[in-house]
Amino acid sequence: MAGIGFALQALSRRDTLSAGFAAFMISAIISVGPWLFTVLSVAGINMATASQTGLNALAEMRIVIIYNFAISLVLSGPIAVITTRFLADGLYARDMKNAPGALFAALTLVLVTQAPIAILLYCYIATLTPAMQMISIASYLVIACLWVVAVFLSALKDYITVTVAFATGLLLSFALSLGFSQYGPEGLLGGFSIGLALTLFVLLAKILAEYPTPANNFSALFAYFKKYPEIALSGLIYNAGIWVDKWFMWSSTEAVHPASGLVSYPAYDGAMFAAQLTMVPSIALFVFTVETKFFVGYRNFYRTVERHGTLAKITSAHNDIIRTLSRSATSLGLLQVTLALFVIAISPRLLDWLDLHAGQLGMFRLGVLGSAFHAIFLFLTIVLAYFDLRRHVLLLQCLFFAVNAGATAATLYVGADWYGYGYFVACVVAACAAAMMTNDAVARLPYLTFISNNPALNRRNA
Amino acid sequence: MPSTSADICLLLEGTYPYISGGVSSWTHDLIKSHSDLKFALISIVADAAPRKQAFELPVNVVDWRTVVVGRLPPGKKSFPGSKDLPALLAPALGAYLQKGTITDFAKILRLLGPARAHAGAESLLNSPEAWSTLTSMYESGFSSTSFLDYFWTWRALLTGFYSVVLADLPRAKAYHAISTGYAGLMAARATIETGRPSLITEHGIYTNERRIEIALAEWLHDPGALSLGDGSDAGGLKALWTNAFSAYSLTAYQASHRITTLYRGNQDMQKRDGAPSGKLAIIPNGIDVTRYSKIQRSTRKLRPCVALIGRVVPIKDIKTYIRSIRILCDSISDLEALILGPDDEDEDYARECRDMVQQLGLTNQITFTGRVKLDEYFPRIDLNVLTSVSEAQPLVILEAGAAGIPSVSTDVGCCRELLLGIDGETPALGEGGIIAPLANPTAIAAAIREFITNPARLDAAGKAIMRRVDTYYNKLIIDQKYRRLYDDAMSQTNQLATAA
Repeated sequence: MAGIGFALQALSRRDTLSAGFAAFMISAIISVGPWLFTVLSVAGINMATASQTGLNALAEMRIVIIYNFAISLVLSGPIAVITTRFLADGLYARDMKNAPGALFAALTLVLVTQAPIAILLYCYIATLTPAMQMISIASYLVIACLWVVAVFLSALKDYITVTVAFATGLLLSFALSLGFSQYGPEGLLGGFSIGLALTLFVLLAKILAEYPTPANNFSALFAYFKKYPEIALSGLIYNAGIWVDKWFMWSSTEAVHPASGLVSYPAYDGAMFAAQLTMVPSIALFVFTVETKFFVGYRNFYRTVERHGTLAKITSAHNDIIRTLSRSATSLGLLQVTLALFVIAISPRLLDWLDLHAGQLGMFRLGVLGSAFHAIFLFLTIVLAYFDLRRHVLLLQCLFFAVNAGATAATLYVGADWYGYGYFVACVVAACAAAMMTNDAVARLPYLTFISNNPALNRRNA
Repeated sequence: MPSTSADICLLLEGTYPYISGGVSSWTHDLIKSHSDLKFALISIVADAAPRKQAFELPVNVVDWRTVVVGRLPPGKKSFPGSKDLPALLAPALGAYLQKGTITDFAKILRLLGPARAHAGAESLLNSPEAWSTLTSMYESGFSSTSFLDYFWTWRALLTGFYSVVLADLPRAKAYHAISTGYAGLMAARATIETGRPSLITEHGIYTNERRIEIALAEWLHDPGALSLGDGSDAGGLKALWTNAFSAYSLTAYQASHRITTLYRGNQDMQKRDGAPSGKLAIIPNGIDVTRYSKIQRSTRKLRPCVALIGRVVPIKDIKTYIRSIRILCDSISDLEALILGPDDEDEDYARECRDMVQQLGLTNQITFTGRVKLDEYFPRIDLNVLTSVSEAQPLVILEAGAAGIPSVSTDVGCCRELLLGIDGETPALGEGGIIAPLANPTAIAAAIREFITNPARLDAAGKAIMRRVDTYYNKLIIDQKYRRLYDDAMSQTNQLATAA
C-alpha cells in the first residue's frame, strides 16, 4: 500500500534530551582540584623555603616543580577533560565497566605524550645534572598521571577521600623533601616526588578496587577525542589560560635566569599564588552550593521535561534554577568581594606571614582582586558545562587565554608599575563575558534544551 | 538525471521504485504502458536511510527525485525576513493543520513567497522565533499535554509539511499523485504553483489507513505513574495528527482535476473525506485478458476441483476454506481442493493449517502446492474460492475469470462488484460467482456445492465472468482510460486561478 504516513523515530529518542546529566560535578572538581593542588603546593613550597631563598638547591627544586605543574597540567589537560567526560557519560548510563580500561588508556596516553616533552625540556632545553634530569622527568610524569587519577577519584564522588589523600600526599612530599635535603636539589626534588608517587600508587589501588571489572576496550576512550574535540581543546586552553600570564612575566627583565636555564619570575609567581589562595573559601562554598541547591533545581528541570511535564511545570522548574543561580551568585560574589577587600586592606601585615616582600605588594593586591573575578569566571563556566554548552565554555576559555596573554604582554611593555594588571584585566573581562553568556543561556534554557543543544535532534538531519 | 520537461509527474509516497509490492508493480506497468509519454517521478520516503531500487526505471522516465519527509534541509540561518517568518506563518499553519482547506494551504505558500529559496529547518524549526511560535501554539490548545510529546509531534508534523512544501518540483504538463497524504499535498502544491492540473489515484484510502495507524499508535505518551502532565491527553496529539492528514487529503481533493480509485466502496470514503463528487471516477486495475483467455480448459476430468489462490496467511482465512472443504467431503467424496500460493510468509500459520488438514482427515482432498504458475493449474480448476477477511480489488478473481473460472468469494473489497457487476450494469452480464459471508464455512461450502453439483450454473457463471473481465477489467481498456485522463489533463489550459 502506498503511503508512509508519519515516521516518528524521533519520539522514541526523546529520553536523550540531557546528555551528560549526573556527573558534571566531576567537571567542577576537575576544573578547580588540580589547580588548587598546584596553588597549595607552590605557595607551600614558597612559604616553607622562603627563609632559605639564598640556597640554590631549593630554588632549583622549586622551579622544576613549578615547570612540572605548569606544563603537565596544560599539555595533559585534553586527556584529563576527555576522561572526565567519558566517566561522566558512563556514570549517567550507569555503566562503568569500561572505567578500568579507560584508566589504563588514559595513563598510557599521558606517558606516551608527556615523556617526550619532559625529556626534551630537562635533557635538551634545561641544563641539569644527569641525576636531576632523571628525577625531574620522573617527577613530571608522576604529576601528569596524578591529574588523570584525580579524575577517576572525583568520579567516585568520594571528595573527602580525595581531599585527604592529596593533602596527606602533599604533606608527605614536604616531609620527604626536607628529609632528603642533605642530598641537594636531587634530594629535595626526589623526596617530594617519592611522596607524590606514593600518593599516586595508593590512589590507583583505590580506583582499581572500586572498579573491579577487567581492563579492556581501551579504544572506547580514544573515540571520545573524535566525538568531543571542543572538550579536548578547552582542556588545553583552560589550563594554558591560567599559566599564560606567568609565562609572559618570565620574559620580563626582572625574571631570574638560573644556571639550569629554567627561567622564572619568583616575585610575580609567588605573589600570584599567594593571592589565588583567597579563592579557597568561595570554592568550598561553591562546591557545597552546587552539590545541594543548584543540582536539585537542575535535576528537577530535566526530570520535569523527561517525565512529560506541561510547559507550565517546565517553566516553573526553569524559574527555580534562575532563582537558585542568582542567589548563589550573590552570596558567592559577596563572600569573594568582602574577602578580597579585607585581604587587600590588611595586605601590608600579611606580607611577612606570606613571606612576600614590599615590592610584591602591588602584584599581590591585583592578584587578590583578579582572583575574585577569576572565581566568578570559574563558577560560571562550570554552570555552563552543567548545561553541556561546550562551545560557550570553549569560547570563554579562549577569551580568558587571549586577554591574559595580550594584557600581560602589554604590561611588560609599559613597565613594572603595571605588573599584575594583565591577569586582573583578563579575570574581569572573562568574568563579565561569562556572566553575560550564562545569563543569556540560562534565560533561554528551554530553547537550548529542546533545540540548539538537543543531541536527539541530529542537526544535520533536522 | 537531467530535467527535461515531462508530460506526467508521478508523486509516489512510500512506494515505487524502492518498495516491491502491488502499488509499485502497478506504477511500473503504468509507465511502461504509456511508453510515448515522458514521466518525471518524485519518490517520497520517510527517512534518509540508504535504500535500494526494487525496479529499474523504464526509459521514458526523464526525471527522478527523492524527497525525504523526515528530514528538512537546513536552509539559511538568516535572510531578509527570516526572523518574522515563523510568526507570519503560524496562524495560517495552525488553521490549516486543524481544518485545512486549499485556501489556507495556498495562503501558506503565498506567505512563504520569496523566502522559499532560503527557508529550511534552521529558520522554520530551529530558530528562537520558531521556538516561540511552538510554545504559543502549545499554549493555545495543548497546555495540559506533555510538552515533550507536543514538541516532537509539532516537529515531525512541520518537518513533513515543509519538506513537501519546499522540495523542488520538476516541470510537467500534469501531476499525478498515487495517494493523498504527502504525495497528494505535493500535487496540490504543483497545481497551485504551476497552474497545471493534478490527478489523484488512490488504491487504498490514505486517511483511513492513517486513522487506524494513529489510533493504534503506542508512541504517544500514555499518562501513567511517572507523568507530570495534568490529566494529559495523548488524544489531543493523536487528533493533531489525524486532522493534519485529513487536511492534506482534503487539499489534494480540492486542488485535483480528477480523483480515481479502484471501486465504489473506496469512492464512498473519498466522498466522506470531502472529495467533490464531480471529480470522482472509478478506474479498476486491469489484467492481461489475452494471456488468460488463451488457456484451454480441459473438458473431461476425473474429480471436481476447487482452488484457493493466495498466500497462506491469516488475512486469507485459509482455515475457513479448510473447514468448508471438510463439510463438502461428506457429500462430494471425490472433491479435490488446492491451496495455490507461497506458505513461507507466516510459517506458524502455515503449520497450523497443515495440522488442521491432518486432523480433519483431508490429506487426500487438500494439497498445498506452494508458489506455482497459475497458467498450469487453470485448465483443471472448476471454481476459485476466496475466503479473505480483507481485500481491495483481488486480481485472482479477474485472472481466474479471464480463464472462464467463476469464484465463490467473501463480501470484501469490491468482490461483489467483480462477481455480480456494479449496480445497474448495462447490459447485465449475469452472475460470475457467489458472494458468501465472512468466516462462515457452512455458507461457503453451500456456495461451492451449488456450483459443483450444478454444471449448468457453473458454466454460465464462467462465461459471465469472462465477459465482465473482458469488458471492464481488460488492461488494454484500463490503459486507455488512464490515457484519456492524461490527455485531458495535459490539454487543460493553465489555471492559476486556483491559487486565489
